[in-house]
Amino acid sequence: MRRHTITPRPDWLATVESQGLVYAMCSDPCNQGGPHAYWDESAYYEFSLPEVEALEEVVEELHELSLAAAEHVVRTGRFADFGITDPRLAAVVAESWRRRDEQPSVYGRFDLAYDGTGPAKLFEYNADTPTSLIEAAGPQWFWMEERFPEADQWNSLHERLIDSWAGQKHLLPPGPVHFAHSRGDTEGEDWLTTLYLQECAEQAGLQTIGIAMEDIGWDELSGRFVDLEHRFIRSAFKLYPWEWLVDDEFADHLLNAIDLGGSTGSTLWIEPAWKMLLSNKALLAVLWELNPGHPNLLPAYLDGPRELADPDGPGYAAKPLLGREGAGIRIIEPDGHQTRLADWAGDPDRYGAEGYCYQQYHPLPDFDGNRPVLGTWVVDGESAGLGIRETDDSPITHQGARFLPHLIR
Amino acid sequence: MVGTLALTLSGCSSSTKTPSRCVDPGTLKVLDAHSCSAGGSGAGQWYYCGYGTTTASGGTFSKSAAKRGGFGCPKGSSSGSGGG
Repeated sequence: MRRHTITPRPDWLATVESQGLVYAMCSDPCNQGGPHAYWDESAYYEFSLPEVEALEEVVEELHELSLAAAEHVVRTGRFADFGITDPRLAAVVAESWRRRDEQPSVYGRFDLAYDGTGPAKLFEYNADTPTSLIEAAGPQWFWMEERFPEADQWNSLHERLIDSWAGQKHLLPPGPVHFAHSRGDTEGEDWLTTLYLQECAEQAGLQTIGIAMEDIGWDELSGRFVDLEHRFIRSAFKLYPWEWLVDDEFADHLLNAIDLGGSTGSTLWIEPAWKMLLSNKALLAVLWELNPGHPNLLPAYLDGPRELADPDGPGYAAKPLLGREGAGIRIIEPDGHQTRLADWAGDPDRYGAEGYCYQQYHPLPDFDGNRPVLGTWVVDGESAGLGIRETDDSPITHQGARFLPHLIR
Repeated sequence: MVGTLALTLSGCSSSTKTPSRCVDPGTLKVLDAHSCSAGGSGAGQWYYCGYGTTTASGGTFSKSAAKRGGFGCPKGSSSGSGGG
């Protein structure tokens, strides 16, 4: 794994925007109102084929271990460890897991620390609402074709996403699939990511309808969710986290009407409810408990940092169970030095009330002051691609990170 | 990706009309549309969505019966990205 600097294409912004990346230049979270280049092709990462092949095996193994962890949680009823204290919600998640073969599940993204020398280490599994998808699937592929046509890339995202929708068509109830994003995201990333997945579903032959979460209606008479044209929402892909869904005003309706496959209810949601068990930092502790010493896992606990906080220990990162984009994470180094994101990079008080996972501190690799995290994609349970986000102002990857392309050579 | 943009442009508007049929409000038997028209007998009532060609079911009499805003971001505020 190597980092190379390169002169960007003169028309890079117009190029990637025309390829769907309309948030390539967005508002700078550090300097509100100022421009921030999220897409950064002033450098790229190079991997060898053996490196990528090994990482693909790691990704697929981590996915399998995550499924085994979910099975363990359901079997032992450890929902409270995940902050799921409502017995009704726990029952829905458990039933969703048991019937998982009857509900479509499309994608997820592991965030890994890796520098090309040692084993990759798992930071988290974004298994419910992962983004940075468009740039990983399209613009970085087109970048490689234009700049390094002789090279290859860890990227079969587009084809696999279409195949995933096509292969799970039989699990969908009759009628169109609604694709829902929230207007709460003002950068447009959530909307465009939802549109991209909708486009993949259309290419797989599905009939689709776009909608905002805010526009989803609850029809009291029929007791069903409806869209703006008053069509029943029989299935919905939602780029909206489960923990928000079950905390919203419509949560009761959602749990009452949920279809957990086989038309057991009136609305089937994608990703399914059991993904709550993967997209939660408590997964890291369960993974370590079930697979102690695994080379791709870091020690992680739910009841405190244990030996990680010893004076001669490695230090730890306290991660809110449901934190997003680094918000609320604290890194405590062995000497007691604490790091958290600046206020502009994440609301530190937004997450944490639900509990923390304490994971061994493992610094991101440093390439000339740049710290990349590998976003490795899983589609249909298989390794599907790589997207790299980089920070140079924090050991915690945050919403101001930049996306850099990669290639295999 | 070009297709994504095409979908973007068409995603904001939909001309699909709400499916509706004229029914007897007591029995949900499907009636001739004339029974629901302004100059008709007035015995029928429009029934939206749902299924059935002779007897309707699964729909609603009131297009405005739906309550909205129970998911997502209240108007005028921002929840930030739900992605990660």
